[in-house]
Order: sequence, then structure tokens, then C-alpha cells
Amino acid sequence: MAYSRPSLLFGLAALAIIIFVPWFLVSREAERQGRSVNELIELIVGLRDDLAVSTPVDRRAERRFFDRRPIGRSLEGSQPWISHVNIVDLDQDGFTDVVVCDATMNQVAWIRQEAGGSFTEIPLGDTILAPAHVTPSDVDLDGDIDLLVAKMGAILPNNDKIGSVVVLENDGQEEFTTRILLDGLARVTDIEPGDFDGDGDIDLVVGQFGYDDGEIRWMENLGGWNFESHGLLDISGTIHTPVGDLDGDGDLDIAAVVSQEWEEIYVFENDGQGMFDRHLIYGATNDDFGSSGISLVDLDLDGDLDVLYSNGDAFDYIPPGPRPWHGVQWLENEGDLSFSYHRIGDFPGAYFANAVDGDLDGDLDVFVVSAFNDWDSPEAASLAWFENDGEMEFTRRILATEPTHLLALASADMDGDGLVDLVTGAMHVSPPYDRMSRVTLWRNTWRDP
Amino acid sequence: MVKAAKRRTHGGRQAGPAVIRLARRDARLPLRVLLIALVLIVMAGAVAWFTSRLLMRIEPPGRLTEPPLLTTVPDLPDTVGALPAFERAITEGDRLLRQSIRSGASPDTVGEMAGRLGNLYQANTHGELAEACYRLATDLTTDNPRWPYLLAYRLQERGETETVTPLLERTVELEPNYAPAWLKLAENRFKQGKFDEAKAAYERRLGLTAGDPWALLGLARLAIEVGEWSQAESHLLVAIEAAPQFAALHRLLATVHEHYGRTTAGGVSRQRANELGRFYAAPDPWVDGLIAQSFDVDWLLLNVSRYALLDADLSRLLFDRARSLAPEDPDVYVVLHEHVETLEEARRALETAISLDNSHPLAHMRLGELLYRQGEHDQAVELLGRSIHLGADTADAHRYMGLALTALGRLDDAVVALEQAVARAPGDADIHYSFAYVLQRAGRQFDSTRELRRVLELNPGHELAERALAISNSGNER
Repeated sequence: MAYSRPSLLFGLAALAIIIFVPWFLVSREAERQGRSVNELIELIVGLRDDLAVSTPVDRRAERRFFDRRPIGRSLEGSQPWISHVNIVDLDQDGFTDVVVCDATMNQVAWIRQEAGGSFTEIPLGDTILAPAHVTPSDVDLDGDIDLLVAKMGAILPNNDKIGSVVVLENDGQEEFTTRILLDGLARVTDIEPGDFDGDGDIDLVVGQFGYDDGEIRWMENLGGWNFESHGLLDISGTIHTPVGDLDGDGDLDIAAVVSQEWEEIYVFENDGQGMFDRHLIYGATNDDFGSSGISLVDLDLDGDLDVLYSNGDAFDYIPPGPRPWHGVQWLENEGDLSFSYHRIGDFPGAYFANAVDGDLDGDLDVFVVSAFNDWDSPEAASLAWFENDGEMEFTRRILATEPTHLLALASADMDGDGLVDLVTGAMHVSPPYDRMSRVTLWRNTWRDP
Repeated sequence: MVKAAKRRTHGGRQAGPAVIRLARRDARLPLRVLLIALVLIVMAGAVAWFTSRLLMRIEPPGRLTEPPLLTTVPDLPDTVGALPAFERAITEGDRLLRQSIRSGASPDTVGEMAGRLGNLYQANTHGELAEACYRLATDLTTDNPRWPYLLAYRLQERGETETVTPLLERTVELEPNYAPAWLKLAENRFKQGKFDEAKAAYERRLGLTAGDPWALLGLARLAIEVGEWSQAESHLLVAIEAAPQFAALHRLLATVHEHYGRTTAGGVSRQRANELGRFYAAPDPWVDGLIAQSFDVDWLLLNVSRYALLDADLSRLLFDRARSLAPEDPDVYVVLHEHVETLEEARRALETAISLDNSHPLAHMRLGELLYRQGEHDQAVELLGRSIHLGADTADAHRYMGLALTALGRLDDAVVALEQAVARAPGDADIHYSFAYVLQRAGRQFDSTRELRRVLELNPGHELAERALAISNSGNER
């Protein structure tokens, strides 16, 4: 049977219309409704009766790209209170180690990494009651790494003057001598090093949470382990006092987050000679905001230091638990010590955040631990990351729901594979006690999806 | 023949007529193409129409026909696990709001509906949904100050400051007599470093509530910020006269004393502040009252504790609401036991909790502690043992178990219990003290002394341990 050419063309055109017009319309509608074309066709022909608009599946959202394993001492029946973890190659042997503050054992400990990725925990120095923060620094400039330890004296609320400024002095062979630089203070929560007066030695800034009484001071190094204190702020609730050049003038300024009823962030602007001007750069008017930590990082990679800020503290509550406003934010440095607030996202019980390029896409994502989520719920997350889309828009993705009660977080490439790993510490101040941990290494296994 | 002849004739004259025919066909071609195109277009239209009809069948309900304002109404939340009453309340609120939009009600009416739904969401810890509703209410209503205020409140809860300012300014413009809004505005401006504007707002609040300690505290802080210490002191003295029980005033006064080198006076003020306790927020009826709309029993119970010292009436109201919503919830009675006045009432509350849930670890633990204190040691041991078995495997549970066992003379078991307690909280001086006591009762004097020394190492000011150690030492000397 022979067809004329016009008939054939007509037939082909008609066929194209019959196929492509519906295909085009169905595809467009599928996109609008957030469904696949197959799903829509199944709906049309009645193989499916669900009329709800489904959420497009984000494969990245489902990825949990960290392998976790406990490092250091085992639980041994205790309910661990790890108040801080930090990462440093303490013995400078090329393997990155972890130092921890253990407020159950009242001890600072060194979790030493050996060849092959095994870890051994070694207690350092004398008993230190409720150590809250440990910062590596060569304070005496003798070439080895000493440890600055903020001694609270008691983790739970207390007005007594039981805090101390402690240095664990390294003799170069990783034998540590406990030196108490200052005693009888309102509970000390942070000590950070820096040459504030430009004289070439290491001075200290000390945050004292206290409870109702607290303060911030800097301690001028006079040499021979003698220090002179200079007051900076006289209110309670200081948690962290990170140091950095916030105004870009070449000297070290001090930032401080003050919680309690204040919920404020200050910058102490250094004139380079150790004279500081105080600036209130941010304050929440929610007196129950629950400030829990800050760190200084150039989050938007524009060349200046921003403030990464978490709020999720609930130590004061009975029982401790999350609040709807807990989460993470950053204060964008806009120059002249002016900062603008940006919410990153909600995360109940958010205790500390780290900015890390976790997915190797060139921007900084934000990893957060939760110490006070609703642990009775099996879905309550203890570790999450906020993925940065490169435009400073963040999407929260859950990484883990156990172990619970994660209070401390540090990040570094622990195994030399070019991916940033995490180390967490848990503080089990309240039940449930069924998903406990002490110190956990989270190995990053990111591969592009 | 004629036809054949004609055909032949045609055949014999091929060239001329063929050209004519082609010319005729060329003349008809546009018409045919046009006709074919028309048919194809009609066919395409018919296929598109038919496809669209099919697609309309699976269109989510109301998608095409609803007014655009409806897209700003947030979807109902997932209510799995929530009380049915909450689901009913938000479904009704949502229905009323949507109905008001569909029926073309006035913006004020729609705004009121949105605001009320926002109240429900806020009271039930659905902050984002509340925020969406309050935005709608704020955009649509012109004269209700609550909606911009509650939107501001929600935003400031999450730490926002700059976006909050215009909302608070609009609130006080609409309702200049709502003192909490002036305080929020003052604090908002203060925290942004706008000291003059903050001062003006504090003073407006002070004008509405004479002697208000929060406004005076704020003015004192402002004065300190700008170096006017004597002004700060006078604000604080006026405030203390009006509200002598407000600890924050004494604490800031201590700072002022210390600034002037008045160390003793500073110490006295600080001591007074510490005796009085914590800072507490100023009452805010528009916000505080919302919790009474909550169907979230956990949230209500949490606020029972929060308001117990600030506003006893509200605390009682919240508790009653929690109990009426969930009379079978054991947590209600565990919270109740913390707020009753006598041990007997506390015991009854805990017994009720256990009768409702015989596997509630905390209720068992608390009742075990309580019975230990009441001297009912057998029962205490039983309850504490059960609480540990149920998951309250805490240092305190083992500690009270050990103390109860000691009272029963089961000293070996008591030592084991205290060892368990110490293992769970090795840095807790009080646990070591109890261990020292049990060891001493068990006749292990040397070990007891070691534990007392450990107590003093952990807490050098532990008076009971000091005394016990002194007695122990004097015994050894004799």
C-alpha cells in the first residue's frame, strides 16, 4: 500500500501532536505539583489515588556521611560529663590528638592518636574540679604546647568563688605540671591566649560565668608566671571569649558572649596597647534566649571575621529541655565593628557550632551539636549540619539522633584524607541514659552524590 | 470511442495541458496546506483540551479557584501525638480564617481570624506558623496593636532585633498605654546601641508604671554605659525602694559601689542580691495569657515551674489546664509533687503518678527518696530498686538506695549501692560524703576517712565533711 507524501506528512504531524502536546502539558504540571511524570500519569489513569502534593525527594537530605566511633576511655558505668573537646597535635608527632575536659572525673585528658588511627587516653596534671574549657597554647614560649584550663569548680549553678585560671605546663616530654595562675574566682568558663599589649608575650583573656556574679578580665603577662588582671566587664554569664582581629587593624580584639538574663555579645576593641573599648554588638531581648556559644570565623569568606553563635542552653531548667527558639545564627561583620544578625536555622538544644566545608563545595557549612533536645523522642537530633548553598542560605540536615546530649564539638582532618572530621563530647546531666557516649570521633566519608 | 479518442487526443498533446494542470494545482496548494494546518491546529487544541481536562481531575483541591490571599495561610501542622482537642481547635481556626477570605470578608475581619489562629499556634509552640499568621494579621488589620506586638515578640524570641523595631514602634503608636511594649522597645533599642532612643522608651514606661524596677534598671544600665555612675545609683536607689525584692537591682548597685571603691557596701549589696535569687522578666499579659490556650501538656508543665515564683496564679492556672487536658498523664503529678507544700501531699501526687503508670522511672525514684526521708526504708529500697530497673539509673537513685539499706542494717548491700553511685558521679562531693557515712557505719574507718578527704578535695568548704573528719581524727588520737 502506497501513501502519498502529503498524507504521510499529515500523519506524522498528527502523531506528533497526539504525543507531544499531552507530554508537554503533563511534564509542566508535574513540575508545578512537584511530582514525577510517572506519578502524575498513574494518578490520571487511576493507579494512584493520593491527591496530596508530594515533597520532592532531596537525596542529599538523606545522607549521613559520618562514621562514628568512641575514642578514649570507655564509659565504665559512669554518666559522662564532657564539658569541652579541642583538637591539637599535642606532642607534635604528626598525628592530630584530642584534649578533653572531663567534669565527671574532674580531669583534663589527652586522647593521643597513634599510627593506624588508634587512640589512647592519658590523664593530665592534677585533679581540676569541673574543668570547662581547654585551649592549647605555648604560654611560656618554650616551644611546646601547654594547656590553658578554665576551672569552673562546679558545672551546675553555683555562686561561690570556686573558679580558677589553670595552666597545665608541658615540660616538652608531655609531662604536665598544674599551675594555678588565679584562684577564688567566680566560675571560669573560658581562657584564651593572645598578645594584647604587643610586648611579645602571651596574655590571657578570662571569661567567668559565675552564676549571678561573673566578669571578664584580661591578664597581662608580666613574666615569670606573674599576671596582672584588668577588668573588662562586670556581669554574669560569660561563656566564651574568643580572640581575633575583628576590626582589621592588625591587633587582637576580644569577643564575648554573655548569657543569663543579658543574652548579649560584646567586642572589646584593642588599641594595640592593651587598652580596650567596649562595644555591645548584639543583644537578644528574649531573656530566655539560652546563648550557648560563639566562635569567630569568616563564614561568608569576604575577608573579615564574623561571629557564629548558638543558643540552646537549658542548664537552668528543671527538667532541662529544648525551647522553640533554640538554634544557630551568625553576625555578619560589616566593618567598623558593626554586625548584622542572620538566622541560620532552628535546632533545639543547639550548644556549639563549627563552620566547616563538610561537602567540599567551597563554602562553609555549619555543624551543630545539641545537648538539650527532647531525648524522649527517638527522632530528636543530637548532631546536624546546615548546608550552605553558597549564597548564605542554609538548609538543615540531620546527621545523628544518637548518642544524645552532645555538648562539645571540634573539627579537623583527623586522618589526613582531606575531609574535615568531627569530635564530640557528651554531657549526660539528665535522663534518658540509654544512648550515652563520652568522646566520639565522626569520620567524614563525604562523596559527591 | 469518443472517450478513447479524447484520451488519445490528450495523450497526443502532453506538453500544453500538463503545464496548465500544474498551474491549477499550484493555485490550490495554499488552500490545501491551509486546510491541513487548520485540521492539525484543531487537533492540537482538542488534544490539549482533553489533556487539561484529565489534569484537572488530579488538581489538588481548590488550587485554581481560591483567592491569592489563601496562599499566605500556613498549612495545618502534623498533629500526630497531639491531643485531639488541639487538632480540633486549629482545624476550626484554620477553617474560619479560610472561610473569611473566601467569603470576601473585610481585611480587618480576616486579620483578626489570622491573629487568633496565630495565638493558638504560638501557645502550642508552633512558632513558624504563628509567625505566618501574625504577618497576615499585621498586614491586614490597621488598628489592633496585638498583632504587630506578638509578631515582634515571636521574632525577638529567635534573636531578631532590627526587624522587630518597626513592629514595636507600630504597637506603641496604636496602644501607647501598653507598658510591656515600651519595655521591649527600650530593650530592643538598648541592645542595638541606640541609647537615646532606649532612654526615651524606658522613660515612657516609667511614666506608665511609676517606680517600675525594670525601667529603672534599664535606665541605670544606660547611665553606666555612658559613664554617669551617680545617675545610675540614684535610679537604682529609687527602684530598690519600690521593689526591694528585685535581686537584679541590688546586683547592679553592687557594681556601682565597687566602681566608687565602696567595697563593703558592694559586698552587702551582692550578698543581698544572692539571697533574693534570680532575675525575672517583667509581666507581659498579652503574651503570658496565651499559654492558657496551650494544649501541649509538656509545655504547660514546663511553664508551671517557670511561673511558680514569678506569678503563682498563672502557674496554678497552667497546672490546672494541664491536669484538665491530661488527667491520666503521670508527668502532671510528678510536677505537682514539686509544688505542693507538705511531704504528704507530695507523696500522694507521686503515688497517683505511679498508679497511672507503673513503669514511670522518675516517679518511682522521687517517691523512693521521699519515703527514705519519711523513714519508710523498706518501701524506699523497693521503689528505688524498681526505678533503677526502669531506667532511672542515676547516682542519686543508688545513693538513696544505699542510705536506705544502711538504715535497714544491710551494710554490705549499702556499700555496693554507694559504689555504684560514686561510679556514676565520681566528681560529686555529696555522693562521696554519703559513701563516707556508709563506710563509717560499716566499720571501715580508714576507707571512710579517705572518702571524707576526697569530699574536701572536691569541695573544700563542705562543712559536714570537715566536721566528720575532725571527729574521725579526734577518735583516732584517743
